[in-house]
Amino acid sequence: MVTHEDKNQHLTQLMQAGLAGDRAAYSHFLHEISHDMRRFLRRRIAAADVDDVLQEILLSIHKARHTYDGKRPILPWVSAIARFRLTDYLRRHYAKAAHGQVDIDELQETLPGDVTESTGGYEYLNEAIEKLPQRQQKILYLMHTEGYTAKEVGHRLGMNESAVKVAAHRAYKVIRTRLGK
Amino acid sequence: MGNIEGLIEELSSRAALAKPMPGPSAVMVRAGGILFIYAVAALLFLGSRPDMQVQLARPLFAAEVLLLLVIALSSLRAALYLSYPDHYQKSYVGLWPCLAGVAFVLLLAVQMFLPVDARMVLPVGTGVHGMECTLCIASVAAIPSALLFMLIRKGASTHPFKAGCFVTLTAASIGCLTLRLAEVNDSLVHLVQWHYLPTLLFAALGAWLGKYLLAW
Repeated sequence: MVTHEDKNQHLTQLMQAGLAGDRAAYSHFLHEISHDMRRFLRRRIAAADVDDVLQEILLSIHKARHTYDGKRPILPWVSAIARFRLTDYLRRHYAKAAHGQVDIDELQETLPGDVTESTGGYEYLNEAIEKLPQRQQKILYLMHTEGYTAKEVGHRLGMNESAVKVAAHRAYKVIRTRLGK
Repeated sequence: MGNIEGLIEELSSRAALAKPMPGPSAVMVRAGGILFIYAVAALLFLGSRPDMQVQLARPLFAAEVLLLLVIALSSLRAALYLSYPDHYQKSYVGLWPCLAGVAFVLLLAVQMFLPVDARMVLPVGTGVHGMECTLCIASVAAIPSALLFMLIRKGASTHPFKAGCFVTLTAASIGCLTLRLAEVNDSLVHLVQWHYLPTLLFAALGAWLGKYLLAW
């Protein structure tokens, strides 16, 4: 059975060889690290994002390899970098979620039809929005272009949160009807 | 999965390009030496206070100077360790500057309740500085801050806020120490208001700067 100590020693040796210019050892080291990191990330983030964060971690390990001198255990060094990049990712992720932003790539994958051929294209949508009352236009702009929440929009426009939601809902309904025609 | 394989392939093809950073102790000796020379030069430029010997014989003044020195050195050490992603596997690197800071605050608090020493200089009227002192500390601290930020940037800090904070705390402590040995003013209120509270603000500014300057 491979103990934590053995693993640490094995990886330290690989990294030392890598720092001395042994490409095969360095590649072996990165493979082993990516295997462990993948397991570490799967327990913490959505499966779809694992590869992206793993890439960032591997790049960071490579970028910071000059800060490792081979005189101390490698695993705490690797995990410090992994935690740093994971925290970075989570910060971005939650900031995005707090502003209600949707990743355009994700949206593209979940859209059922070919939007470019439908009657509800971008120009039609713009036209429909322009026909809305000023206040509703402003609400949609703040919520969907600027990324404010209903509460923040209410605060800016001097309305309460539910009034903003009702106004937005009415606007969606009007747009839906206009685009449906 | 294929992306990861490709990335590993690419990274391993660039395996031999990095030169390891020297250990933190070696950097500490070098950086400490440079900062010491800089502090002496700054003191010579500002001119040391004429009653230096009398003041150094006063235990509370000597303790204040000594603690400022300890804060500067321990902050420098913490900043250097924090330039490594794993802070060179030393736990609690930020503990020493914090302890020194607490001791310093206690020392100032004790002085408030002690009777005024006859050897203390408490100028009134035209001899009292204010913002000039803060600006002087900032001016003295500017070069060490820049140098230390450049030094820490060579590493890969996973705690940029803390590292930035300790960088400016080191530099501002050097500024405070230099000014304390130059300015003929022992008024506690003056020192707290125009020397030590701004130093805390510089540390906070450093934490904010760290986010941008130490990103990698």
